[in-house]
Amino acid sequence: MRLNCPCCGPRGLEEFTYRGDATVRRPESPTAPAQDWVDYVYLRDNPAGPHRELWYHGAGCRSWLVVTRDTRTHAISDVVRAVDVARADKEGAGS
Amino acid sequence: MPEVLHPRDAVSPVPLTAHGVTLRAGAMRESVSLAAFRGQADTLRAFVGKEFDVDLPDTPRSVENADGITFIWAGPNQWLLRAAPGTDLLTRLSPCAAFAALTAQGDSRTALELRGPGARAIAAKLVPVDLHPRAFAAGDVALTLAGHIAVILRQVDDTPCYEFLVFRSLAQSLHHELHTAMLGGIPQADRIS
Amino acid sequence: MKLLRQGKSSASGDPSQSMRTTTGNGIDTSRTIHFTFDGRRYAAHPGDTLASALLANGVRLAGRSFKYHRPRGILSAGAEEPNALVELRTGARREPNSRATVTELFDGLEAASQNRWPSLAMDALGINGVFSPVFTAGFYYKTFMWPAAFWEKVYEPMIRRAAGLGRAADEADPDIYEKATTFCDVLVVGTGPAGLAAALTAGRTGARVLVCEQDSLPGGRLRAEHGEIGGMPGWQWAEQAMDELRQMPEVRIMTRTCVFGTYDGGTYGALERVADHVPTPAPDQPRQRLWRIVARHAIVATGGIERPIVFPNNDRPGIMLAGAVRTYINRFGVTPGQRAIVYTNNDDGLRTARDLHRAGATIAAIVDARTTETPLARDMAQLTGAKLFMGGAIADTYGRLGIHAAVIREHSGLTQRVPCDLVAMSGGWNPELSLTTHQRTKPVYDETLCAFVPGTMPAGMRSAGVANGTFATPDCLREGTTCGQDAAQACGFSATVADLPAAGTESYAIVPLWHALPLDRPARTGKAFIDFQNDVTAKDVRLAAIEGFRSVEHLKRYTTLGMATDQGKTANVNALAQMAEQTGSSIARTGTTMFRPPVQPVAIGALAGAARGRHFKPDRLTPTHDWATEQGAVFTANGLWHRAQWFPRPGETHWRDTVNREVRTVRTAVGFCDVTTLGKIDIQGPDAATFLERVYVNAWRRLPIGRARYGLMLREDGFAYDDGTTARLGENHYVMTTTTAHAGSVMQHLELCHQWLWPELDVRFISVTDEWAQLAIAGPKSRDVLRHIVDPAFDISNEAFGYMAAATVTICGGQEARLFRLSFSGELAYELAVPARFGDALARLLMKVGAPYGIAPYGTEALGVMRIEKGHPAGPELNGQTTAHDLGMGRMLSTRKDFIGRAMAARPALTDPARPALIGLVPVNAGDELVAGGHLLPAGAQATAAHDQGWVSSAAWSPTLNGWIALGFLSNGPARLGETVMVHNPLGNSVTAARVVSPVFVDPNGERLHA
Repeated sequence: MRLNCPCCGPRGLEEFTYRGDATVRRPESPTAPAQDWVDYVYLRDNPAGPHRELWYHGAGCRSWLVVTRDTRTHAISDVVRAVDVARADKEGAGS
Repeated sequence: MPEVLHPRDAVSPVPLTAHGVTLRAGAMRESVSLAAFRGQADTLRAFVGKEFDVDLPDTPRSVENADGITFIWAGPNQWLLRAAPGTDLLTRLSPCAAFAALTAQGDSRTALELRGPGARAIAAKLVPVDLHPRAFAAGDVALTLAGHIAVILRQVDDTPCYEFLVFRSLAQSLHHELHTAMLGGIPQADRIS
Repeated sequence: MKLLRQGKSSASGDPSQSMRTTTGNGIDTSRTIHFTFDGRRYAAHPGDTLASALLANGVRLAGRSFKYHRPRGILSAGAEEPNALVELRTGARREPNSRATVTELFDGLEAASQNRWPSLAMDALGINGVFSPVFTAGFYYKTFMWPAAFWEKVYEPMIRRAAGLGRAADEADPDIYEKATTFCDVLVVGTGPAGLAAALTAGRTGARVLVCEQDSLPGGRLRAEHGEIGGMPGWQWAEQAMDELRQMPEVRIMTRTCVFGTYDGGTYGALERVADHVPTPAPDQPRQRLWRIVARHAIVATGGIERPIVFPNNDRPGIMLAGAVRTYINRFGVTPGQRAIVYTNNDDGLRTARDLHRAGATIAAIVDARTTETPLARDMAQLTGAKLFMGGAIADTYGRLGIHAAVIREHSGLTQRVPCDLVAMSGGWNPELSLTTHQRTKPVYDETLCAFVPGTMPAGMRSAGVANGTFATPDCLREGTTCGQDAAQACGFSATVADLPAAGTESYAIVPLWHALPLDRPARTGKAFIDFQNDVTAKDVRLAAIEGFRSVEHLKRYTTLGMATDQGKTANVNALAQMAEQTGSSIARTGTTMFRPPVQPVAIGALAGAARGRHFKPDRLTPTHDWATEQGAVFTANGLWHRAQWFPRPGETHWRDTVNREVRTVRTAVGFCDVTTLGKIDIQGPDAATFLERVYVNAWRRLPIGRARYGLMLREDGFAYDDGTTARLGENHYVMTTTTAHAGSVMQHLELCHQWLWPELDVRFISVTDEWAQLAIAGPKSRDVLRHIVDPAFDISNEAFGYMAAATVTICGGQEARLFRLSFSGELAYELAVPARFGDALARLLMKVGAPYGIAPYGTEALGVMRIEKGHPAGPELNGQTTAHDLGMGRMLSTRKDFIGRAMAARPALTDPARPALIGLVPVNAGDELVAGGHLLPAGAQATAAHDQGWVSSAAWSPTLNGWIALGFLSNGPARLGETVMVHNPLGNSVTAARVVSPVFVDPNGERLHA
């Protein structure tokens, strides 16, 4: 499999580390309801189809990436820097 | 009378040659990592442009200024500067400290150079990025792997010559792997005419 | 007419090559080379394969079958060969299961048949054929069901001996292998007419083209046939095309290279046999090279594989694929028989009669399953003078070690016995489309071709020629050209297509033929083989269908059809067609099994490449490695790092003597140890302190510049993750240390926290692990030693530079260094960091200036003993299952800030005092050994899981306390100091009484630390 790192260009799987679901977000507060934390830490969907996932380009630019991958075909439809997604989300939430 | 500390090379400085390709350890260079703080990349760029007369690259490339200082892209808003010993990069960069993290890296990485007409074919045994001249030219940089070892790879010139910047502790292993790859010869598809 | 007999070579080894009757386009008859097969010496020519050379010498019997030990010959002339598997070479280079049909012959090759005893012609286990009812479909499951103990002791060894393939070498592989990655715009797999046309067209555009050919010579089937292209023999056109390709600067050619798999994202695997065709590789030359090819577009022009015809006793030596017979005649100049029957269901097979006739063989009969005579059938019969049996079949064959007669069943049903030494059979051609299916795209059945052809293609892939179901040469050339043009264009290269060379067209006109005899006919009695390699017959497929194994995937697992080295290349379609017939379904609906990489076997050695033995993984060496080696250090692996474990001295007979001495040296004088391997991360930025607060459980904002602090990190699930000290070097500048084991993963974790969780924080970090050589200097005399090194301008007195101080200093007259007053041993201790290039010199200097103080280096073992004596947790305590509370650090957890793991660490189950928590243990009976891993039980309790109250995490002989000590986790532990518990070691079957004590055995009040 190859991922098109937005910083480095297309690279082979061996340069990346998989983390998982990029759709779950850390609760804002340590005192958020326990269920929110359990959901965040333990519960994951396992969709058959496009899925947004966190990957780490550890052997390259050390960017965390949000990769949209079809779990049935491994087709990669989108790769963006996680920091851009996270900032946009935070700014969206703040406005 | 204070004792004098003598530096030790991470790998043997003796060059090795096989199949027309030469492997040698690069000379010790001063090196500093420059990482812009949040929103300060333009300020840093302006400073470097003024102080060193060079544009910091935004893509995996390296540029060299008139003083022979190399500015290597090392990730988003991050650069590795390499210069001859005595340049005193940290002092020249000290005004940046307000808008960038400066970190000495002179001992972190060892440079291994692979040079010769077959260097591209030999590098391809370890490096999983496209080194064809249409894809990777002199000055281009890749943060990637050489075998199992993370490297900053840079094409120095069109000989071609490639520079592998490898963590010092892994330099002997990479040196061995490069030498093994050299001994294995140039594959049939890459015959150098 | 003299029929063939086995082994024409005389005892003296006189090379006869009696079957080399004509010239071949792929051999060099001007030179003669020699080889041995089962110890006999034979002659051959350069360009031969082992199979062609055996046939040239009249050797038809090549091996014994897998289950029934039936004599088998050479079926094919290519990679699909199921029968002629041999052992090549000897000693450490002995390689089993090598296909004779693709083994390039070299002078001196030693080959041996396999799966036979005592000899190939007289095999004791041939008796399995008599017991064949036992070995029907599913025999593994039915016969060897019980008793269970029999499986290991009787059945499996028996099956291994009886049904094994070849023997692997007993010694390590002496050859070397390597891997490489290459990139191209257009990958062309195969150099038959379609592949060459594609490569030429794409190559002429200037696109980067990579051409892979598994054979040593280009041309594919062009080498096996008579047809002409561009007014010259097809094989000559192929060589000319190859020459043209070689002149193109952006075209690269790999021969002897099999593209064996298609992977995600336009990635392909290929195996280049660099030196398989020579006796031994040149010095340092790899034997094989594994290529990873990344191609924007690929053109699969891999040709086809001919199907055998399923008829009773269709497996005797001398029964061959018709296309293979033509290959042996035209490429190798070998006529595999002198009196042949051609048996076909299509026009292509008929041409074998012509080629055999031209080579001087007699055609005893042409048996054509089609009921309507085609013009070609009539022409062939006329040309060769053979009797033509339209609508005929072969109903049986005779000949123990090779065919000597066949029973031909006429269309009318009459039978006659016809002497022969060769049957050339063609059941039609299957496109070799494996590469198009590895991405789970399924092939589709073409009724006209009676074959599966590629269906939906993976992105960036095209197929051309026979692989695509296009059989006539002019069509292959046209299709290849179009594919080459389209692929180049897709990569941005425009093509002007040259005129296609002229080529004669060939008729095909196939009819379905899945069994020679009608379904209802009782004469379907003899073994009609479908899968030669696994000895699966038509009856086995029928039985599987009757027993309900109707899915092709079930059929495969139940009968073993399509397994092993050939993966059913000649068998699969015949089998599923019969399954369709049995179940009354269509072939299209029955479908095929999944093809998976590799298309052909790939040696594990090639997959490993250079990463084997000592170089399996890279070594990380510390800055003092060479010095430690000179000192005679014993090294231990710590992840990739090699660390000095201890430094033996003359007279020390046991490693523990050495370690005890090293510990005593530190506790009474001074020692030093390279701790460079600890992860060091430089952290800078206005939000650096906030960032540390988020990743560590404890507070950081008030840490003064010039001080260090111990920090504990949790995972988000609340369990302890990593620990270390972090020092504040400047207003916004920290240097963090991590454990050696987690250095990489902590870096990744910090990046995640920064880029994903808290992108608003303004902080940057970079690894400085390799930048600094860091040596721990520990012991009551450590300050005295340091005074000789640190420049006098820096006051390192206890008052000026107390415990947990950190500073940038200069040493040796101006060399910048970092000094930390940290202690893992519990003694007065420092860590001194110098630029890595000076690490070696610093170790030598410490030895010199420390000599008057009795200095000695110590290794990781003494380090470990001292940290246990001091009760510092390390890897065995931070094992991913312990919490801050378990470690006695519950009070470190700040409640004034958010940090990773805070919420989950507060779960009641994680703070329950009944959880096993850190304690120390000493044996009740002095001298008793405590063992890490032992379970803790209440005194007097039975050693059962219900009584398990914890475990021993670390144990050591303490030279300081002169006894065994241990750290462990005990339920309610801190409240049970003084209690006696039992340490149960089920491995050593021992129970030791131990007293629960504080985990800090040495200097519990920290007086030495602060000295």
